[in-house]
Amino acid sequence: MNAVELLGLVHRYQRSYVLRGTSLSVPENQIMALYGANGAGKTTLLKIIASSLVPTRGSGKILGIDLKNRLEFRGRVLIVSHSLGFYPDLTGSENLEFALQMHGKTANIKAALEKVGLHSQNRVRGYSSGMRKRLALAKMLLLEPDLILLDEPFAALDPDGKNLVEALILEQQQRGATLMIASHEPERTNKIANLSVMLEHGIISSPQVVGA
Amino acid sequence: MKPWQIIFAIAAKDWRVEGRARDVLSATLFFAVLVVTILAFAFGPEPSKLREAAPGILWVAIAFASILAASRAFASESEDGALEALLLYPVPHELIYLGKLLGNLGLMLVLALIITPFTLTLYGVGVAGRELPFILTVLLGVMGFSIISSFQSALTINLRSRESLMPVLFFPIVVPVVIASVKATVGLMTLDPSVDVWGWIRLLAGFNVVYLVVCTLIFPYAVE
Repeated sequence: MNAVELLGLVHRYQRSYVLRGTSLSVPENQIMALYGANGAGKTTLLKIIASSLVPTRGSGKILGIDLKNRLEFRGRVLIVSHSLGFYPDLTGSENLEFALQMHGKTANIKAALEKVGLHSQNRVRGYSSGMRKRLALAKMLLLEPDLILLDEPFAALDPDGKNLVEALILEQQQRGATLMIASHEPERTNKIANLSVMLEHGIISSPQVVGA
Repeated sequence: MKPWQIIFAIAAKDWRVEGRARDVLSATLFFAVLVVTILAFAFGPEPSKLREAAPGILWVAIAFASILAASRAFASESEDGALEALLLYPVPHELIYLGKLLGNLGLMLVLALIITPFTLTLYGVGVAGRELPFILTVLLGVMGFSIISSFQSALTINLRSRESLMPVLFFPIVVPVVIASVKATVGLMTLDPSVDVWGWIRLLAGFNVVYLVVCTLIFPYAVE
């Protein structure tokens, strides 16, 4: 089964078309790398899959559920994009606790924070962008989503952080999750991805088998 | 999680954020105290004039503070894309609205708890023997303002002209709440027998129910 199936997605911001009839299938339990220049539509595509944006036209299924029935698959999809969605005046633990509450789950927050190398008990406002990214990874570990959408996961991280992201991505795949990674670092992403696609001017290429 | 637990979790998160930042309460309280004090100087020192003006001034302070509180409460959601994340949680958006409303209402009630006795003292008016209808009026009035301001600040959160749009959108819709609150308060403060206090309170409660239902039902479509 495909975790993501999109057919003829069109999306436009005001008069400019970002996606021009994008069709894509991502098989379950695979890691797909999504490449493309700035403004190619990678983030838009991920946001549509996460149901944060409604496409102008087109249809699709996410985890076997029609794209229109957003509420039914939202709890099983996690997007980690440029805006990480944390409350700056709460601590990292408190932010994670709130996310768990909203998902109706309980999990070991301390263990997740330790795993991503975050030991700060300060408010998120004082975190560096790398620390915020690590917090987002902790959220991913705790929520255990079936479909994970990562937008530039290696950006703003030191080499250790990048290695950690790689390890966690592979761990999530072993758990059974499907992952899509929008990246500008093919040399690193191809090491862990099974498939890759290129998005150019809103048109997506056929998936290519890569590395792994 | 049960719906009420989700609503309470969202409100508790907002109260925790406010407890740290003290952004909403400090700004609204300072503003409301300033309005009440300046107008006391403008109407004073004659006690009868002050008593006559008190109901209107109390509600002017609460109404403006309510807009300020709602826009600031949603500002915390827009800072790091938190609203987008909030809307992506697998909970019905109606509950998100009710949670944000409860959070905002809690802060507004704290404000009312401070500004109302302050106004009564400064303007020399009393409500002895009429405490219950007075508390009910303040509670329902504040609730009416919160219902509408929370809804509208969610709608305008991503607009560049949010600060100027909020009052323009807010005041025409909130007119029934303003009239009912002021009329009931006038009746309670002046003991004017021509004012049907309980009639205005019922009307206020009725408006609140209608606004609450409409805003809750529209919210998911408005934010999607």
